Amino acid sequence: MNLKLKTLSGLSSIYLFADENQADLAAALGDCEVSEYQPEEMICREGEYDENCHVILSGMVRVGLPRGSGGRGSRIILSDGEVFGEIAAMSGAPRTADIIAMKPSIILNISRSSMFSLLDKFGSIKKKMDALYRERALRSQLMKIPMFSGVSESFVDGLVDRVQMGSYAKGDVIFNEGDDADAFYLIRYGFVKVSQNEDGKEKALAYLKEGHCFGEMALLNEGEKRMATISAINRVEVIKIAVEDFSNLLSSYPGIRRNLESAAGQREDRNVQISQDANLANTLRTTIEDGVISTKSLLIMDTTKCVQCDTCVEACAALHNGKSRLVRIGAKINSFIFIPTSCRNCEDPTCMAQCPTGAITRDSNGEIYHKDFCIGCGGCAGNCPFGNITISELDEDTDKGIIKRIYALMFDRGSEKGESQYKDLGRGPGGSMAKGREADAVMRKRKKKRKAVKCDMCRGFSYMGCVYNCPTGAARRVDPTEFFSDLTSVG
Amino acid sequence: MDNLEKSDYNLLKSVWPILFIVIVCALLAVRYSMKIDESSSSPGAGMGLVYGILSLALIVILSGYRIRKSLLRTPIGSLHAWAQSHVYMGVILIVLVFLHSGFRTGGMLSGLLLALFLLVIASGIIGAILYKVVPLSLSKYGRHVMTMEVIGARIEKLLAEADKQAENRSAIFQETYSKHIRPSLASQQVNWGYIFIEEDEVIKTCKAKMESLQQDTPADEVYGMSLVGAIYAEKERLAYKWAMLNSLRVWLYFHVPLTMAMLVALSFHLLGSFYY
Repeated sequence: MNLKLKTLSGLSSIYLFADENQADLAAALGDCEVSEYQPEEMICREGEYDENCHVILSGMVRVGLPRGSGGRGSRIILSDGEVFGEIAAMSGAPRTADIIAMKPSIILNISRSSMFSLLDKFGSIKKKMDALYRERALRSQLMKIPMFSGVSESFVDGLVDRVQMGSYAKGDVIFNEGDDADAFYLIRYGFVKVSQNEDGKEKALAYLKEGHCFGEMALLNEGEKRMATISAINRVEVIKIAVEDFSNLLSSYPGIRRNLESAAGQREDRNVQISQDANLANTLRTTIEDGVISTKSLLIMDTTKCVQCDTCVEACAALHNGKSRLVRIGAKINSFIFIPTSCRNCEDPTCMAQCPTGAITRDSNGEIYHKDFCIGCGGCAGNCPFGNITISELDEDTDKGIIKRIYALMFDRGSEKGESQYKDLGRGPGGSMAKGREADAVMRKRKKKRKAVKCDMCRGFSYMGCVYNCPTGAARRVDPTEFFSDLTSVG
Repeated sequence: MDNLEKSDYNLLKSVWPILFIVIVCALLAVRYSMKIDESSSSPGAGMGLVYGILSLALIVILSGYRIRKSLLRTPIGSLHAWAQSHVYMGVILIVLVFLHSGFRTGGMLSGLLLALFLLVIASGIIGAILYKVVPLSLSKYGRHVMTMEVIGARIEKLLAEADKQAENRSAIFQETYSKHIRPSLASQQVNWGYIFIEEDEVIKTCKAKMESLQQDTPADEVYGMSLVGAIYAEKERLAYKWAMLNSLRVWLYFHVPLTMAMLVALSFHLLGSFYY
């Protein structure tokens, strides 16, 4: 059962919110929901996507960590005022543990976008969340870095207390080429671009993602300046290891220096390769500029196989009440990979940020979809930077009964071809809201329903229509971080 | 770097099915040559009949591809798998049909059926080549993928853009434009010659033509002529894509009706077989 936060009071008694102005806090948390759970009811399931960070308002839950996960044992009990799910919410990654209510519990669900705005607006919350991260995950995250594989636990424990956390918004520069080297960085969440200045123009060399580290090249040789500019592709959180700690590490573990020097050599070779291979350099640039990297699932088409028969579009229409969500036009990112207009299930979906009804949501598999109560306001379409959401009008008689549907299939040519049910009113970004407003009055007269329409990865079907029905195998759904892994930097 | 540097389009991937086809065909041929006497090589008896039944089964499956293409909501195998088996089974069918006929044309109906079959196979081979060549040719140049509708609309706009560029120019400019460039821009005809050449050849020809035209253009209008030349080159580039894409559509107008005609002839052939 979901309750609105407005129905509750007493946020000041919760440790996370205690130091902040309650009125400001209530305003910031206005859209968040409160859920009640009965004993043994599952709150989060390991492996599923859930973009909420949870605060226990009252009750008790247990966190069942998977075997061998290290940390604090296989079972953790959390109670009033404690937070869980913040790491998966921030990274957009699937849950790493089952979370089950032990007593009747009331849980505050803070959406990913609300959590980021809380962190940006309220200093004490940011500080407490960082402390929580330091306590719960930092140690295991540091131990996961291949570079730290031979480092003693006591050394890492010492680092945990001294490292600094940093947050960067999309486009922020973390450091510039030529800057003094002050720290070694590890990416907690997000993606960064590595670039160099070449004849006054920025040349992308690689992108780095969660778990990758950077900034070590200048630290290996004392007094050396930064050799590349690092900037945030989306919201980025980093861990900074100060130069003194880094030097300490190198002197205590000479093997690490050797590994880093070898990785630095590989990076330099790679940079030479990119500067010599125009196609690869172009792919890298467009992949970063087009926002391909920071997505979860990408529909790509191989233009050396695509015969442009449009069966993919027809299949999409056939599976979605006659309205195709796929538009087979767009730009190629290299000589043969083409990305058509189809939802990319972004890591950080801006389309979900301002939905007034909460109709656009992410399911447990990470797929973003619209629930039936979408009012077609166009907010999501306007926010989608790739223009992958359309606001369409839907005839009221789409809700007709089975007999009428069979009749329509048999005798209504328009319905069969999918021509009469929807009509596009606009496709984001921008413009959609304006177009939507213009069309609003007309549609009220026509008694049509407005609805946001986007690729839903063929929810409810055992296959993806476009891919399954491509006669040449040109259409494929890929995980961009896997498919474009060659574009990440070494190490 | 395989993902990014080259398509996984790879002829080697076809080795196993091709090997399978060769083995099947070889076995069929060996089996045929072992019993080559008058009775066994008759289409209506012995192995000839078996080959006929197998051929019929394959034709039914091959025709099923068209049905599969229209069943977009039915999970009966990916269309790619169907398309591949359509090609490979088609190759086996050639051998089976000849073994069934005993390498003879037979009566008038059988002869007609064999002729139609050969035409279907020939058009199928052309289609298979087009399906490989056209996407490769289209993917070589340009950064944008366009549908035929978008190409058509763009070509129409280009004529208006070029007309605008030619407005208020000297008489020589106007004459050169209306005589040598405008007819090409306004042409709605598909230039089928384009399907035999590469896109860069089309552009080279355009450039050469524009260079020769610019020699007769007044010096102060050379820039204007180069703008018109750029529009002309874009139109020809689009016309190339248009011709390529059209070749795939036109091909279907041969392959499908020929197949239908062959199926009709096959029905009569079957009726005749049962009757006699």
